[in-house]
Amino acid sequence: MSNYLVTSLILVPLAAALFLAVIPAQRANVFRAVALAVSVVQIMLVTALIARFNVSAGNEHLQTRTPWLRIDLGSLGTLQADFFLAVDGLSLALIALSVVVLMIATLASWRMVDKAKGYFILLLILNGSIFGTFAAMDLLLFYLFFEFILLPMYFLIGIWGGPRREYASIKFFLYTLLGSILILIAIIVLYLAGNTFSIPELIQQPFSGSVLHADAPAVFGSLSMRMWCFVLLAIGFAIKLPLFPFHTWLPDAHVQASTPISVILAALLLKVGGYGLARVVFPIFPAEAVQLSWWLGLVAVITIVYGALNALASKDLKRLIAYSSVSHMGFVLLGLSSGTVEGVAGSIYQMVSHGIISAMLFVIAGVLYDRTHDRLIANYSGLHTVMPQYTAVVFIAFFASLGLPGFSGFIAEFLTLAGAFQSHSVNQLLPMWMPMVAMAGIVLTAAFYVWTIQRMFYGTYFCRAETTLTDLNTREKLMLYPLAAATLMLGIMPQFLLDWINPFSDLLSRLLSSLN
Amino acid sequence: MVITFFLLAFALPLFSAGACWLFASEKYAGHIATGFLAAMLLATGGLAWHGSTTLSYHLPWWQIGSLRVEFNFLLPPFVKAMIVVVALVSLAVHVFSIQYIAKSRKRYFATLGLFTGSMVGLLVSNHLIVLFCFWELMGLCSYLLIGFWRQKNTAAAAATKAFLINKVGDAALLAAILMLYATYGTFHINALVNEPHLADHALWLGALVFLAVAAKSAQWPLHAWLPDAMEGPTPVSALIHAATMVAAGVILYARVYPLLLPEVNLVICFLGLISACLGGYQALVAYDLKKILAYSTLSQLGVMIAAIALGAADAGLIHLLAHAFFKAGLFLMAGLIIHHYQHLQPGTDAQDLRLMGGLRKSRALFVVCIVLIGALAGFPLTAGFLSKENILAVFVAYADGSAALLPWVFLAVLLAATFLTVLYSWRLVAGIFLDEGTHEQTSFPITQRIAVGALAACSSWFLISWNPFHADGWLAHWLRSEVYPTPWTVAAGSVAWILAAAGVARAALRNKQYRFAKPVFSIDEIYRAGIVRPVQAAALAVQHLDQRVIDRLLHGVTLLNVFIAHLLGWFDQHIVDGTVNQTARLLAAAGNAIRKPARGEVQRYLAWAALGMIIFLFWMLN
Repeated sequence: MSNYLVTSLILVPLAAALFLAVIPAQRANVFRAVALAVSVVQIMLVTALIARFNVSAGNEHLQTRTPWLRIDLGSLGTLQADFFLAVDGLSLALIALSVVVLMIATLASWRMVDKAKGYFILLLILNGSIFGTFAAMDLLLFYLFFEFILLPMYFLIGIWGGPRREYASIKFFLYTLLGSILILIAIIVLYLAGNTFSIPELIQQPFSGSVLHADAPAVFGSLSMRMWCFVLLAIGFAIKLPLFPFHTWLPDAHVQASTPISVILAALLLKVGGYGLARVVFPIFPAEAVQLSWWLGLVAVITIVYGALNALASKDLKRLIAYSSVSHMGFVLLGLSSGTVEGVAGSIYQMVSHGIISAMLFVIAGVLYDRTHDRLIANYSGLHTVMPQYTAVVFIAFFASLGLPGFSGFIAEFLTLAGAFQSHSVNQLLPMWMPMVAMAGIVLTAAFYVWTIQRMFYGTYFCRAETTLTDLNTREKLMLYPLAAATLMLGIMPQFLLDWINPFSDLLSRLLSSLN
Repeated sequence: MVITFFLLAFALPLFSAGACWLFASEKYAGHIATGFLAAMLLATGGLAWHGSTTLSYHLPWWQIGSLRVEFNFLLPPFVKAMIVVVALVSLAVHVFSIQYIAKSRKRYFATLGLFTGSMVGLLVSNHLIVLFCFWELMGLCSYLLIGFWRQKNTAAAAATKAFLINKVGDAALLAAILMLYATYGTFHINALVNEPHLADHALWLGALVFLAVAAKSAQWPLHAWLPDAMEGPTPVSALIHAATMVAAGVILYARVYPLLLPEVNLVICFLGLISACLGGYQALVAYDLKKILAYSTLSQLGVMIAAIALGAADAGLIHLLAHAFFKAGLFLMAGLIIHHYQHLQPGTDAQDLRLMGGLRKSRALFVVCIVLIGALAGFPLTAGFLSKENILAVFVAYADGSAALLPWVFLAVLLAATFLTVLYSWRLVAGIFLDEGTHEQTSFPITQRIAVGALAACSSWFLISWNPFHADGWLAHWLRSEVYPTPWTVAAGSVAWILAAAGVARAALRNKQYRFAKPVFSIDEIYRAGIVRPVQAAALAVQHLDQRVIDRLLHGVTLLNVFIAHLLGWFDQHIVDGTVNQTARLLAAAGNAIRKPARGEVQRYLAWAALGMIIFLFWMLN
């Protein structure tokens, strides 16, 4: 029975989407009610999943594996892909994050009445695909879900977005599609060499006698086929994460997307990139990851500082938050490339923590935008006088995001930095100046957040738009307070999440350090 | 039992914060918080009464791999004494604030509670990560309290500045901690101090630790936030300058200085003395009452850092204890005086020393202030005299018999700093009390008078020793600290030096309008030119890079694609399709040409057939 939990997490939203497709478009209330019901069901499913999850052992009782595609390719053999879903600590952490964030996104979509039918159908397809991506253990299935995220997202930004939505959505689509193609090429090479799509088997696979064998001769330039595959996959996921210089789709997409879509983009879609790196790229190509760790660390550090500086220059609140996401995603790569237990655990912790905090930040931006349709920081001042509860929530979100102890962001940043500093003495992958520069990024992050608070919330009241601002309403509180509680809980009691991700980070770091 | 006292002392201020924030009413938040703090003082009393043995307590928090974070609390005698001081000063500030803070009391008292609790947490933490957590929480609390009056733009700017400068220190401290962990594999301070010095990165470690200490304890060159911090409510300044915040840097340094190379410590000693003199000079130049006190804090902290750097941690820490009482008292007193002048001369800058005078007619206030300012200046019969004499003894012992120049330079600079302290203290007394000024009797609330009075009482000599001229007294014994032998020459020399300084001050500062030369540059301008502007420029450059370079490149690639697509389209339309169309047209033309002869006229067919036959026959016959 319990092995159907993960499958139903994916099937429930897809079935609901089918159901909505036959409901007349005028009945807008039904759509959001169904979407909310799906979220509630999913929360119950994930609760059951967590209850059955065994921290210390493999979780075979939670996995589903049935043959799915079988195509005879003549002399090339047969192409076989499985419907292979499983959860380990890494998957569970992101699945748990996803139910929470999707619930918040559904609540944030409550006022969506314009073309509601299409909107909620797309949202539900997106919902199912996200869980599929985080649970798939078969590369082809993973890729399928990965692509199925892209398509609804394109329409959700392009139809329900802001004034420059067409530009933003096509930019997002092209960027991500390019990444997908690179990933697809690598997946095909992996299948041809390893004769399987199963990720756990590919990790064990010695690839003897194929182009992906460690001693195989170099192809195209002086790089081995393994290196090429690593680079293709890494770039593909780096676009999603995103890392400098592949990040410029993110500010546009975030700014143009509506609040719930920004929330999903920042909290979950970026995590798909990090998840891909941790699940596929690093475990299958550990030697290449170690070989390129200096460059990966460099990209990570540049992303951290670059994103923070860009946020400092942003005049638009949502753009500032978007760039802060870029900066924070740099920590994910920094932790992974350090190859230490602390670093890997920190990067997973950062994914979960950033998921919660960025959801909160985008809801915060949405609260103001809903009231005034104005996101420029300079058009506000002294908001604490009219919106005291909102101000309190903003303080919590901003300080959580800048890594104050007591919030989840601190544990995440501390662990990645500890890993990066450790790396110098444990496995010599990263030099010590890299985490030092990342520290400068932390100071810059503090600078743009505190400066924003000073400009928007302190001082005498001023608001450019001619509306009377009201404080948070019940629906907004329902979105923001649980998120605030979650980031506080993960900051004060980190062991809960660390127990889940410990085995995975232990495994990956051992895989990486055994090569050194 | 004693553990219970400790846990109570730690938890009660945090409970106070929670109770004020969540449950208390706006009106009674102050009373509730004060109740909690009074209970905390009792608990700390229990802790101290139990004796000065070192207490330790463990509680695991979280771990991953070999990295363990645990609440590892260690309470050596000094920490116990400091907790008592924190509780006492914080209680005084609470009592004072009940009347002083009129609005947003919940927020105010909740933050005060968190501030106090964090300071206790920092004092007792032996685990560097836990220490760091409390270290940053204090930064948050100071940010919230400096910016307490949110509608004031200057307060917001001061809070931002304080937080960011402290964040630089925080980042430096975290880097130093992780560097130590990467080398020794432990976060425990008591384990680290027994390790040998770092082989490589020793200079980095020294620089990072100094940055952390300098940011928290407002040492040159990271001191600029402290003078601005007076934008917060005055009782908050009392807390920041005495018991919490700035004390944290000194305490951290006192605990980790053995980890640093001796040469690095000498540099820090020198930097501390620079702060001592610079702060003293700035205090002499400023006219704002609270700014003068702020600069004096900077100066006194510099002296403490310098003493610790020479290896005399106990001397520095005893001065920290003494300083906590008189500086908190002075700030609360400043609150009263400013309040008085706000009433007396509404609309003027009530903090300007030039507008004050004649307050000696309020006898009680005058006496209390003389005690507090005397302690600041280091006059005999005060705690300040004894703690400074102790530090002087350290420097004398360091210089005594040394042939090198450096120890004597240190001693001379220290004496200069002490001299400056007496000068600006005299200027305070003259400006507020001795000069003529309009005077009107005002009555202060009894709670506020009690708070200031208690702090003044704690600034007398018996805080440290029953003998008013010798620091080696009961406190030193209780702390089990090593007291440098103070020869009678040092004691007599101190008295003479301070009295001489007072004489000079009296002669020089008869006129309170006396102006000293302003410093040629301000540190704010240096920050602006050296850090803020470059960072802003970098931010704009990076934005430019994103929008003008990366995105343009991307648009270029996309446009190129579109262009190629159009090119292919044209090729398709004109070449591929064109070929097909031309072929079709050719065929049509051929068809037309052929159609003409084939119009169904039998005679023509016969003629063509005959012609064909003739040609065929010719060809066959040839």
